[in-house]
Amino acid sequence: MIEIEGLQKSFARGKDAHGAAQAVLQDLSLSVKKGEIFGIIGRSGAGKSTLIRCINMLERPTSGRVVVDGQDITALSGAALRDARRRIGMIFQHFNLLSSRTVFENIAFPLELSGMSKRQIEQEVLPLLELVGLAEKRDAYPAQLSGGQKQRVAIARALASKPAVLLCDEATSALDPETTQSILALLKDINRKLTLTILLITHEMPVIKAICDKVAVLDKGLVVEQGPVFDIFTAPKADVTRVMVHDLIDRDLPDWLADKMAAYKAGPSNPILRITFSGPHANEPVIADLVKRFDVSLNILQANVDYIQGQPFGIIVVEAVGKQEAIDAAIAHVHSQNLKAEVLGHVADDDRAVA
Amino acid sequence: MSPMMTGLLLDGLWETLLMVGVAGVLATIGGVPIGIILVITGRGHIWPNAPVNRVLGMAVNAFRSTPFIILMIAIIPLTRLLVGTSIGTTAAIVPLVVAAVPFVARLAESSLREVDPGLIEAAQAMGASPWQIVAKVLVPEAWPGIVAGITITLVNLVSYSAMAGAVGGGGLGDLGIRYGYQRFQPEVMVIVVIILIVMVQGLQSAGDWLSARLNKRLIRMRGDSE
Repeated sequence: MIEIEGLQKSFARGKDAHGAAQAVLQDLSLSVKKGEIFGIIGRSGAGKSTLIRCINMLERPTSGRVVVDGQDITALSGAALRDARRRIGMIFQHFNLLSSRTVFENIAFPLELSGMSKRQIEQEVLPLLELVGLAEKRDAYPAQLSGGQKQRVAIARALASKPAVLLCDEATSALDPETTQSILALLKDINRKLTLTILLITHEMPVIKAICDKVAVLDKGLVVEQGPVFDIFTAPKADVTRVMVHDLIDRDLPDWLADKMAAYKAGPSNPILRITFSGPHANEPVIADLVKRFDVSLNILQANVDYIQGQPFGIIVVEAVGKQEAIDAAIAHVHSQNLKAEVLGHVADDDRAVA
Repeated sequence: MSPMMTGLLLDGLWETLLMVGVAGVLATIGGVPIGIILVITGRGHIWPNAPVNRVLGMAVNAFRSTPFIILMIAIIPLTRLLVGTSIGTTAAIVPLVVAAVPFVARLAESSLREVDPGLIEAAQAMGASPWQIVAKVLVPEAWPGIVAGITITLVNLVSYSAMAGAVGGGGLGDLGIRYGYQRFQPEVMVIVVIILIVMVQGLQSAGDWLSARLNKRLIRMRGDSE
């Protein structure tokens, strides 16, 4: 649905010390399939805003191609570009509603632009008001609405021209967490109902986790990593990604445990294991199984199970108490289930982790 | 007060209202489009055009920096050409318009410039043409500010019209000078000044009220939220 090929953008104004134009996007390629919710995440200054604006030519790329729904947008200008833009909806961080127009008139705006008759506009706008749950606000002005309501109006407005693609430019960044959730739920809902392709940019990992199917990580104008959200979250490869995922999935051991733990086995001690659950065996009762099958007892020190794209992803830290052979066999069994088990360190027997 | 004086005052009032009203309408018709062009031809706006922007800006500055009394006399040939005479209320309207157009243009420009660039970007993303952006985004969003600007212009025109009156335009200012000053009837001057004060107060209040009413950003938030 959206094909980005070799996209480059540099701004003449931001020249560096050598007088060369500063590259904001460097040879960037992405492919977004129909009906997909594709997230682009990056820190501020990574080039996200420029990238999303290159898709509807609010920013003209220096080179490269953008194809939306089979149409090469980069080749268009003037009236042809305006027609193409009507098939690409967009919502913004600060909503960008016309303050002089009511909710109804704001949603009607893109239809007015295309010269639709008043009666037809009414027929188109009313169902949209229902869809975003603002039917009773039709005559209110934006100043009378909350942030979440404003973004709902903006979504309805973007949908009015029946776009093939919806671009979301930090659409929830100005909203509180609760409202963010309701807007994300609405986006997911329209994505399903209308099989609308959504491309969103954000700096918030929770947004990606909540609704995206695929994600690309943007850093300094380059895509450093991309793939299904589950894979990126559970096995981040790039450093930038690792840092962003870290905030969301707590892999750090509690301080008291880290203090007591020794890296090597010295004297009578018990290993501390971290078992990572993901994939098809994540739903099986692995811990109970280990205790039953092998002669080990497990003290659960830390446990966290998260659901990403409906798939469970868990990290459990346990202290294994038992004979060395039994523990080794248990670790081998975990590995045979395609789950990960790593020995983090050892805690002396007389200084048990769980005192 | 003699019936004659009452008659003169009413005539003067009518002439002032005529000068201010007609010049105000014409200055709005001329000034707002110039303000629009000044904004949209600016760098990075919807219709960038540096030569047009610079020339128009300089012309506006030239007219604005010329003292009204000099402007009035300097454009006498133009006035003659347009209305056939350089004396009288109708003739006074010409320099008033010439002085007020650039004034309205600058005030409109500053209101138009304050329109959130995000709104223009959103309209562009929806496929709006430059003309549609002007007609459906820029002007409606800036309208409360433009109305406030027109109000300021009208108040200025009241004062300019008194000057125009002194060189044969008629109106209240002229009456005040001729009777109050030259014929030693200070009470006429006082009455004229009082009428002008009331007129300016009325204009300002009406303009403020209208501007606030048009400004939908000032609509009170109701206690509901999501």
